[in-house]
Amino acid sequence: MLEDMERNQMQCRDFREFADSYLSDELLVETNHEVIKHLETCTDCRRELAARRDLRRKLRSGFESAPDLQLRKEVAGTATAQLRDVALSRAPLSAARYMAIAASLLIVAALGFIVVQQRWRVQRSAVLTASVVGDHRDCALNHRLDERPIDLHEAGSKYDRAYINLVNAVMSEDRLPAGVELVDAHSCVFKRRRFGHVILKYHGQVVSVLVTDIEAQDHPGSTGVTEAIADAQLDDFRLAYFETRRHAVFVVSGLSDAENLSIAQAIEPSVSRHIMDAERIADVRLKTYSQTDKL
Amino acid sequence: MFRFRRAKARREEWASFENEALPHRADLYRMAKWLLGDRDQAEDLVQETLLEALRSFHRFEKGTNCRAWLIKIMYHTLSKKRRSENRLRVVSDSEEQIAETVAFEPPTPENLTEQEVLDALKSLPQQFQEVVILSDVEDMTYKEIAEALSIPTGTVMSRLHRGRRLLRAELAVYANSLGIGRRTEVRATHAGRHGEESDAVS
Repeated sequence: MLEDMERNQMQCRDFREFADSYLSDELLVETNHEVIKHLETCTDCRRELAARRDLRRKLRSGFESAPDLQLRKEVAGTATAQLRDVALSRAPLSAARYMAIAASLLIVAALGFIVVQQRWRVQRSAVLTASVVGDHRDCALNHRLDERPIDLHEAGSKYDRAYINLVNAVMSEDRLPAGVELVDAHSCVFKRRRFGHVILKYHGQVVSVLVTDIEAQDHPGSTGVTEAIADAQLDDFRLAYFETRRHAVFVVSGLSDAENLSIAQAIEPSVSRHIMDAERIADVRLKTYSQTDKL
Repeated sequence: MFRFRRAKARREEWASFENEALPHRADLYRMAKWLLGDRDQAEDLVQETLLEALRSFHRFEKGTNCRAWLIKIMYHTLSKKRRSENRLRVVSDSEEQIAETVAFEPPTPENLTEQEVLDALKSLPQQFQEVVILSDVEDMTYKEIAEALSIPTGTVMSRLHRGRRLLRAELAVYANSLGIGRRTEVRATHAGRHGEESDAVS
């Protein structure tokens, strides 16, 4: 009898430990069954459970109805309006992300294009300037070209109209420094590249003005306007050059930077004008021929 | 076309937020006001919580407990605020020990008013108050409470156990002082919130 009572006491103590978890439905199924079984036989624990349930109800009800815990209606209205404004005006993150990615891709593509273009131009310029210097050295200075130079007029008729009257274009400018003398003019070939070559002499130095065709497709972005004069140094020679839509013009010599550049600046207006006229005439002829061919 | 679709998506999201989240604003405010005590601060906290919830509403899993999700955001917002204000509240050992000193489990008193129950709750250390409210008022599971408070589930369980026991002890002392306690011979040794000891005999 006493043993039974002690067992019952233990069960009541256990129940009090589990009662709240039982009310919260957080007990394991087996423990839940034991609690229910105990409740069927224990009046005190049933009362305790009812009291705890009532305590929770009062706690919840008191919390929900406490006057000092109520949100003011006018605040709720204003806050909702603010939230609605934010919700309906904000740009979705995903769209912003897409825009950022698209912008990044565009920038990368543009940079890539510029880098490729610049690299290509540098490579092309390196090959071209090497030919220019080679022609100046082998033709104007050492006279040892493999192929014999031909007359500019002949070359103009056969290969490139820009060569016709090139000498006049070079020498027509009054801006040429005093003391510049014409030595020779012809068309020559260095490493399969043809040049219109006007050879001058200034302060005892041989100066080459070299005009060569650069293919239209090798010249992206050109608008037909003469590019700015730039200069560089290669193999102890000074180079100054400028370009038109389809031609590059070089001034090469052993002069000082300023002297070499001053010759390039002096001839640039008339030579550019002359070459661009020749390019226009060539374009018209090409168009005429193609129309004739169609007919 | 894309702009129209975006506007439509925003309207739909707002409608969904209005239906799912906004009905819990009053609950959030009660919790915030209880925790902070100040009306303006509580209103600010609730609005910040809802703004944050709106921004991350796409992460809310439909069909789960939205109130628990919002309360979790509110606790994180509050925690961030306290950190930024350098007012992180550290739970002292003594507060944890107080609960351990309740040696006797008194019967739960009856015939008390809602206000008396709330007053008793207020007298508990805050970490016990909040778990009791989150569980017994907000009906959150142990797991949801653990996520909201960023504490282990085991800590939630032990705090709840101690918090409820403390609450009952507090109420028993009060009921006995009014002569309305249960007619059970109890002797509770209870160290109150401020560390004083009191004996209660009914």
